[in-house]
Amino acid sequence: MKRIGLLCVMGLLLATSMPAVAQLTTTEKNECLLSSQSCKNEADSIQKKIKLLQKEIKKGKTVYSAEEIKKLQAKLKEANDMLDDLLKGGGK
Amino acid sequence: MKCLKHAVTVAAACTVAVATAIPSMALENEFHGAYRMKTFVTNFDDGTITQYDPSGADKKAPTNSYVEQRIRLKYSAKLNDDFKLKTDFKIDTRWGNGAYDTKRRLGGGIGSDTVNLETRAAYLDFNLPVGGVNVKLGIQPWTDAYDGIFVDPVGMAGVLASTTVSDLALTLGWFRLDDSANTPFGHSPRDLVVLDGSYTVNKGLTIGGSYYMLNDPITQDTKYLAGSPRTIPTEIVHTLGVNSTAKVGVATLKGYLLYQFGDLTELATGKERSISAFAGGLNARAKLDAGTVKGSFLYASGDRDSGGSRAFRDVQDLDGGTETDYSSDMRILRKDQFAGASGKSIIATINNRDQGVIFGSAGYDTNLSEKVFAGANVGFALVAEENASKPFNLATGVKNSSNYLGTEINAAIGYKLNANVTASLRGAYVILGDYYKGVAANGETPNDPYSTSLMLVYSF
Repeated sequence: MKRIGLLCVMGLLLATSMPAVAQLTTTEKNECLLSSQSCKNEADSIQKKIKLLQKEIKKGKTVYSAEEIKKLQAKLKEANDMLDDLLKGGGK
Repeated sequence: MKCLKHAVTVAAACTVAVATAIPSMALENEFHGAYRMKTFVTNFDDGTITQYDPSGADKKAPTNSYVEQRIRLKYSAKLNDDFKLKTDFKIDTRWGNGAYDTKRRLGGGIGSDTVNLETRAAYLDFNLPVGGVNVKLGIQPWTDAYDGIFVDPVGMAGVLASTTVSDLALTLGWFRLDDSANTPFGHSPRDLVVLDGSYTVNKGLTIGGSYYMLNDPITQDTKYLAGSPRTIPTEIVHTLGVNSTAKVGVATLKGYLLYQFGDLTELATGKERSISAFAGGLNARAKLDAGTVKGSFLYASGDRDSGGSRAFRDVQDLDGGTETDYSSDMRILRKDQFAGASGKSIIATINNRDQGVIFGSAGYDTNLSEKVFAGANVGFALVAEENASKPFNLATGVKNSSNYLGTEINAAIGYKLNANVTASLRGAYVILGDYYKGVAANGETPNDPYSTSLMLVYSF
């Protein structure tokens, strides 16, 4: 029973720590491992997040409601403030 | 017993299974940070954050050449748009400085292995389900609406509530700055209450008002940390402020005025004083060709001999504090906005040892190409009022009549390696004013300070 439990844990850990290679064919390169590109679940840098937010805000009212644009603008301000804080200041 | 062990094992396995099998739900983990390295050649910076004081020292300050690095790490756990945990950490190290230790700014020596992670912020940021109120709860960065001349953006423990009603934005907060280690907790703490309001008149004009109340009953006997010098008096300071930001064509103007009243008790004599002090500032920025031209002026009242009660009172932190200069881009006269472990300055706080400040600056920043940027600034500073903090001219045996601290000229040129990485070469030089004439050893005048650095920044 104990072994089953441990196997269960190990199996899950292995399954969740595998890189995103499942969709690759045998002839495709794994760009994630090779050059840190096209990784599954990759996180955006703060600069990339700012660019994405700017891109979405530019789409304007044809795509987003006024309330949603306001929300995106607030997120853009938050991201810009964060970048500013990272680059400058930071206490003693 | 065996059954119990099995049950625990199965329960643990199932917990892991459930935890890993649940899709990512709404929880969003966000991780950002920066690495900033600076190599110095300077006769001014020395790896400390202190106020420049050449009195009695050799006129020729030694040339320091060293490297320091700062790492910033920010992690936020976002349950949804209405509930987040925000944290902010940093590690400062001068290369070669200390190892196998448990102190901030060490760990740059061989072996490293030092407990040197500093927590700058750790707080909850959430929206109340009613009233559109945002609450920040915990150790959080907060600064005043006046370029940080009253409170620099440092981490403070407290609670801050803010809301927006149409064009009116309101913020109310309470912070516990220090709680004495020598009295029962909460009996004589230093607290700050803040109330800020701003009203957007139209797209180009915002006006604001503030009330800040600083209650500092901590005496030498109840100082918050054993061994920490207590140099500021006990006081209750009420600060009233007005500010306005206006956009006129390509220019943005920001002006503000602060008045302070309250009571102060001198530490040495126990003498009671009524506070009456003020400060005002004006900043201007305008687009010019590919760049931005900027100017700033700041006045903060000083005190000659009234126990500091006429000097603009600012909120100082545990070790005296330095207020970062975000408005004029000085490097030596005021604390460099890109300071790391090194953050020495001629004006360390706007209170400036009760001498106050008269300060002005002008500058220009521009992009020379898509990759290359540059900037230059000039600034001057005086103390508003001379007092006991002014050094003696050791040649004459009396204090100089001049209150002129100096004129700074600085410039920088940088290159963007990519969206995340920049490298820049920076230089600053201060022509010292006659405030410092003859204050060095043997009545000599200290050499003019300079600071050059190569800065590499990676942010993500």
